[in-house]
Amino acid sequence: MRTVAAVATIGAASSGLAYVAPAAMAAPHVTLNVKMEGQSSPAVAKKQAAFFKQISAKFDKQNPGITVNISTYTGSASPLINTMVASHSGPNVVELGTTFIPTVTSTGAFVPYTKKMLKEVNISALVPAATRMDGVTGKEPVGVPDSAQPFALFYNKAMFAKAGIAGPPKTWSQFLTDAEKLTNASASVYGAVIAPGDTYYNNHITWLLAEQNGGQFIGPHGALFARKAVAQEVQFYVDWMAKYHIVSPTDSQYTESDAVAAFIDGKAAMFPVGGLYDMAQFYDTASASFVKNDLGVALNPVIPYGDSTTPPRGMPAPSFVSGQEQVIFKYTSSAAQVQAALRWLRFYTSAPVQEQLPKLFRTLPINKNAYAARYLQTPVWKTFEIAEEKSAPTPLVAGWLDLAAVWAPALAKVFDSVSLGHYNPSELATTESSSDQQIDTTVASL
Amino acid sequence: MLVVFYAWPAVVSIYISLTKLNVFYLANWLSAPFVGLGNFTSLFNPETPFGHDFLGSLEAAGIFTGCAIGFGVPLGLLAAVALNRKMRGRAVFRVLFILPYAIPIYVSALIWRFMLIQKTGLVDHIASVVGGSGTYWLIGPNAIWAIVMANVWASWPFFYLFALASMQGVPTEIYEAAAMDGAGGVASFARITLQPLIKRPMVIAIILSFIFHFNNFTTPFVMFGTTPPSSADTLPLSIYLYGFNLENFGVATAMSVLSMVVLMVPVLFYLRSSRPSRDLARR
Repeated sequence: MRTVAAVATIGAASSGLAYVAPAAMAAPHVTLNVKMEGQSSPAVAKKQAAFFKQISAKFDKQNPGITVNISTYTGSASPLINTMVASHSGPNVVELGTTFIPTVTSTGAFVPYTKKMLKEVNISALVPAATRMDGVTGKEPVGVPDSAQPFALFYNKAMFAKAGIAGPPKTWSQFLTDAEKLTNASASVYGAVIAPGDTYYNNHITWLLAEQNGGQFIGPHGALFARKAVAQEVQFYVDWMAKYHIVSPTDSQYTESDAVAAFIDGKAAMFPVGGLYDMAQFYDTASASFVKNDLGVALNPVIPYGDSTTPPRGMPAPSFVSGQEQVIFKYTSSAAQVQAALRWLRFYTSAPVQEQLPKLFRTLPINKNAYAARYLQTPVWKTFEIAEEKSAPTPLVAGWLDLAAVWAPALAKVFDSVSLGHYNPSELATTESSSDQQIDTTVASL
Repeated sequence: MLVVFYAWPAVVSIYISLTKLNVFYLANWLSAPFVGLGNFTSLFNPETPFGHDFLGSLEAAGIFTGCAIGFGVPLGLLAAVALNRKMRGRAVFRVLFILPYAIPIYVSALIWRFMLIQKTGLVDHIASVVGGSGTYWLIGPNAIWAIVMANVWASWPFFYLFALASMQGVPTEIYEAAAMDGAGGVASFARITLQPLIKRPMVIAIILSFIFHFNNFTTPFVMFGTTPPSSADTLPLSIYLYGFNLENFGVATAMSVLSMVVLMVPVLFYLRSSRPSRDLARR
């Protein structure tokens, strides 16, 4: 009986082989594993899972022969990337923040996009600014943006009206004047709130101020914090607390979410260089009337303090390029998977998918056509859209992550000194030159 | 299995600590330049940024661990003694005492962070009621005490549980006999409860606690993120910063190896303490 079955099976298999021969010559089925950044809020994570299920089914249907498997990770991308690179194993495509792009490029473990590949992705359909943060200067890009997170100035419209101020400031001098007018220290109300205790905030704000003033954080020969164009902007930022007292001395303790909470509580009238991601905190924790009536969103001022126009070499950028990008992992991706990844990227960055992102995750689309969605025609979304279009990329150098990791805590310590009452201006100069040295040592050791 | 999961990673770690492994060599980490003991010598040189950070972190981790044990042991013993006798509401207190230990560290660290924020935190409000206020706990030199407070609060029930479990194993006849011999409460506690009967389990608790607190990454990370004030930059946080923010894996792994050496001391004590006593071994 077994023999009969075996003969039958072989016979069937042989005939089957003969039958499927033409199909076998076609491209084999490709499975594409994609790792996306997971949402930390359980409610949003649930929406995200449903969204990924929906779009992966749609992608599979539109692309016969390719199956996309989407999984997520939460927390920093750094451990995931390091493990993938060191072990040569992991998904084919990974989504990560723009901050990591220079580092990821340096590993040499991700596929550089040639012009032909970018054409396949339909890169020309994307907002040009978003594509400027895609690798390391002088090398082919390794990242394709898939969503944007620009920065803006949050202000309290009711407090502005009460103080008789017509609208949000356009220059940093006006920002200071308005903030002084809005400050009532005896009532613990300040013109602005900042988050010097946050891992990223100090970098974000000082980089933007310096860029607008024509200063660079890093040049071909090392870090440049002590250079005049940077130093005077850093001084201006520290002086908000040390000299002008437009921010509370307690701000030194604040992370970005603490600062947003203080802003919602009416303890401050402005929160400069706040992220689009902060909108989630407004919607989740502030009252509906605050969000509807009091919350104002404007572009960050672009004219440096003391100037009336942008200085030579200055960049009038109200934000820097920030958001998520997708990279293709070299070690686990066959040529067919790379091709499948390009199709996936074209699909994910297409307008129908992109226009769903803002309402689901409060991120901005990077496809120009997606901005036409009716629900994005509000002043808030329009402001973020303009901020994204006018944003400038942070340095595309391998040591960018190291630079940020050294500079932010060093500057936080200066703010600590201000709050604790033992600050003197020479401390800032020392911090700048020691940060320059430390970054040069670190980057040199890379 | 032991070789795969314990010995091999340890060997790889020691090798990496002798190299200049960074993000450029990560894909082919065996090709990272070999620097011998270079990473270790810079870690012990306070003049270098690495040495300054490492020695500061070692000190912070020492204070953090020492306080967790130094405050946790007496608190745990007192609570265990109090609840080892029959009293009204004992069950309620037993639940209350375990509560801090039952709350996830992530949550308790966040709660403490909110309580310690100057001006809006509960601690500052209480201080202002009793006539003081204005202390910054989350920045500057006090930051270490912020993580110490949060950690002691969350971890003292560990000693309480160990002590109570040990005390409940002591036959009441021993205490009755001591009382008949004229021993008072303090003498009974010192000479029966503490010295011969619960000393051994408490020593084990202290050793385990040392290992746990020296390696505690969660409390300082949740309270300060990866940019803590220097005073609260404990060793696990520093290792994370050098490894995952600065991508300097050689130095980060050298720190890990030194951390492993420090932790070998309590581990050896633990192995010695958990060995059966000579009398038992002879039987």
